[in-house]
Amino acid sequence: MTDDFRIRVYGHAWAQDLLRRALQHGATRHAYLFAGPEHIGKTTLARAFAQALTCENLAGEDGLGACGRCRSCRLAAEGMHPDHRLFAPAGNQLRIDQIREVVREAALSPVESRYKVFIITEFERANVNAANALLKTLEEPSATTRIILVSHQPSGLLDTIISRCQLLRMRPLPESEVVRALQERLGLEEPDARRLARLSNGRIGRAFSLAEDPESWQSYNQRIQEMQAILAYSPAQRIAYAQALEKHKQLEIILQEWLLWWRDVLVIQNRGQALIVNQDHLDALTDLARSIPGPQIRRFVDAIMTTAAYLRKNVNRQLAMEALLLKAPHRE
Amino acid sequence: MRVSVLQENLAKGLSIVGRAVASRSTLPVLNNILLETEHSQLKLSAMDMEIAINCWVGAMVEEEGQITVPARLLSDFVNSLPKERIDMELNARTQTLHLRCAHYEANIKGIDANEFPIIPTYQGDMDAPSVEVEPAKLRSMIDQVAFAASKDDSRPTFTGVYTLLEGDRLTMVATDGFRLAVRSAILEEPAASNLGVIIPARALTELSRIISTVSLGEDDGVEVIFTQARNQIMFHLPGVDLVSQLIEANFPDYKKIIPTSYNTRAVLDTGEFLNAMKVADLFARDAARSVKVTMEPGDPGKVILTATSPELGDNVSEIDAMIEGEGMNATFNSKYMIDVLQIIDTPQVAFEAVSATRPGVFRPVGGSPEDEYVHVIMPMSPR
Repeated sequence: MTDDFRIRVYGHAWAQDLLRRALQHGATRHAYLFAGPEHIGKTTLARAFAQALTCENLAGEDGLGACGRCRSCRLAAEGMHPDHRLFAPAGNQLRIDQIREVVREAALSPVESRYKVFIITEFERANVNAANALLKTLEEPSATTRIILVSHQPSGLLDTIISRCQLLRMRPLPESEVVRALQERLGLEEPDARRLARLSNGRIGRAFSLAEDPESWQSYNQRIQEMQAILAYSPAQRIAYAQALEKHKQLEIILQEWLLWWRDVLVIQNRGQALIVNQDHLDALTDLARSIPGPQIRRFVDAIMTTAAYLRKNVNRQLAMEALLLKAPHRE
Repeated sequence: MRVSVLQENLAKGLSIVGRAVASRSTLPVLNNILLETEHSQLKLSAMDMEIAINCWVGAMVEEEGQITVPARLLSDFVNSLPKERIDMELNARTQTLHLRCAHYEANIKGIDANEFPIIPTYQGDMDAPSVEVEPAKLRSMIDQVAFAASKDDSRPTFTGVYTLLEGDRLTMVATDGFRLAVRSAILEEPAASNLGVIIPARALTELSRIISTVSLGEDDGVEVIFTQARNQIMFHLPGVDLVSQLIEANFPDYKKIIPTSYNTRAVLDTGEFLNAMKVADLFARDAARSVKVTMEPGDPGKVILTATSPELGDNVSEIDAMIEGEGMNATFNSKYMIDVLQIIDTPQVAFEAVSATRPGVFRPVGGSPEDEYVHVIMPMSPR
């Protein structure tokens, strides 16, 4: 349908229910914090919530209840709504002048809707001054203001920020929901959808970008090639590669890719029946399964998991990656 | 859309609405001006997050229509054209506006008018509380109050002007925490209901500018419409609407800040006081702008301004004054004093103080009794 402008949220049914009920009872809170891993749909949920908050005939039982047909819903879907303001870090940081803009605009009445909705993404990138500048507005915004903070590192936020928000902790989607979303939105066949779902590990945004964006698929394949190449690297070369990798913004995703890759190798080695995620690289996988002993692979897999856990705890990324790469299996 | 307008009229209209065009908006359509045919006129609209302006320009409309085009490009182009007729035609399919004037032609790519936010437009009967104010009076109110509002966006409440309607009295109040300006005026016809809103100071300064630009007839008034339901305020002049968002907050009880009595009162010539203060400011500029004001009773009494800069030197000025009450000296910010002395429009001004640590009060002397003005300035701690 071309006249349905609802912003579709996949998964997070409980969060959608909670927000829809708050909307129905006119009991939405003035500030929310949507927290959870990257690419699971936090900002999409925030945009859909904003759309519902300003919908002219909020009624539906579906999703968040926005009608998807009014002018306001259309503008929301196009990202052109004058009462929806999306703030993302400019460069590495949410700057204090961006927050001041929020503070100033939040004091003003909405332009054409009941509410003025501010979405601030990657809020962990706000430094202490910027975060503090928002405190007063966050605590006592005007009756027509709604603020949604989005963060994948809520542990990095000030307590004073978190305590002023209703916290929704969002999790990666179950594989089945990602499969369904890929089939529904992109019309993928079941096996393709399942492989992408597995590869994305419940991060639906990542699944969509792998499916839709050739560049992101290309860079994935390139990383897979590089990972095979390092098996033949000398320790010095491995350390150099670790240094290059460390600059990558989403190390966790790379580690996840490696885990799935080595899992595939183990499945083949043990003649398992489970789905092979990297179906396109069957030859390479089989080759590795033949040439590298199982225990070595398992040790490396353990090391990857430990490193991923370290990274979440903010260790020195470069050291962690160097140590990990030195533990990778060796092949001539 | 097919419409013809005179270059002069369009250029003037664009300059009026141009002030409301968003300078760096995340919403691309707000960098544009909305052109809309309306009866036999072309309506121009622009808005940023705070204010919106509609302006009507006489036109020959052959075919109705609407489009938004980049404000900067359109204004610069129109300003470069000769004073002749401009024919405009919209290609609805490509959303491109074709303009032709004398030997100049241009196609300007636009954005669909449906993307433009809805700006309330004046209609004769708006079913909302409204009052009519004489333009010159409204301008003087704004000019005497708006400058005292804070420029610090981290306290949005104080960046606005609290505007109160009580019966036949219209009052405007602004403060930045260090000074307070209150001006009220009597309306010819009382309002139907009492209310108070906070209007961004910038909206009022723009309004003051518009009042001074458009040509108004003798009987033309500014209609002020409080569109309560939409939380906006509209100022309607012949051919122009200015709509402002309101600041949603509670304004502090300003009356508590105005001292109700004084121990010393000086009445002196406004111009002399201003000039002496400007001289003192030359020396105070390097010294946190602090100027000592000494009031000496006597016959005649004197007001003595002293400014001392550790590096530049010092300065003393004396002004003859009528002093009532005891002698006193207190220290004030020279910029704040200059700001208020510049907008007091009576030849004489009264300066009142309770003590060196309490706020000083300025009042015009001998003005019209119904146009009340009070300006309060917090003292600086004496050094």
